[in-house]
Amino acid sequence: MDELKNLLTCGAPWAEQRAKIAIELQEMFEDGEISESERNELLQDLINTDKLNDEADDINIKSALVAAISGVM
Amino acid sequence: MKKILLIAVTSVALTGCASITQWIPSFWDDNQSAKIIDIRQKAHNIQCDTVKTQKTHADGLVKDIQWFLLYSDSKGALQKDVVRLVKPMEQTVNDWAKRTATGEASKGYCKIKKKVIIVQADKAANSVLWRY
Repeated sequence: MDELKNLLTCGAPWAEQRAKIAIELQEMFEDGEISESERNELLQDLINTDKLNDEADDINIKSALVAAISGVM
Repeated sequence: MKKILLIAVTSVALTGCASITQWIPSFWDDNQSAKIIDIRQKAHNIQCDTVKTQKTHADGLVKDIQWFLLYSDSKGALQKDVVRLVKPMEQTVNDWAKRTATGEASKGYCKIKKKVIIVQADKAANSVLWRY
């Protein structure tokens, strides 16, 4: 939990956002608001979100490159 | 800028045609753009009051994501990047739909799920709409 709390002020908005969600769901699990399987699934969702993030960055960079090349043609 | 063009063309030529579809991004598509905003709107409007309500919202998102993926797949190989982009959302939403079908989705779980889906939908929509 301390590592997650450190990420809250790491300066990377995407990481702070994920850390905030991870802390919230861990607290909900400890308070009995969500089950263990629900917590595990939601943690997996956060990992999947990073995959989506990587793909999104890849598309953005390639699109910017195509736009730049089109500009010189 | 001509150097960039030369480097890009040379890179593709040297690595062969098989890599072209990996290098060239998919381009703007009206239907994909409209559908990803439908998905984003549904994500922001998720309600967690009851399992029945959750199921309605989850099933709606499952259908829209399925539409997006089938359409993109039918459109061809150049759409692989947007398919990879939306696939993680498919898993996130399908897991939720399965839980609502068996009545095992708590309100707290739904609240966090909504936050995750919104993050994913916002990011995916940004990429789909900013394509050239």
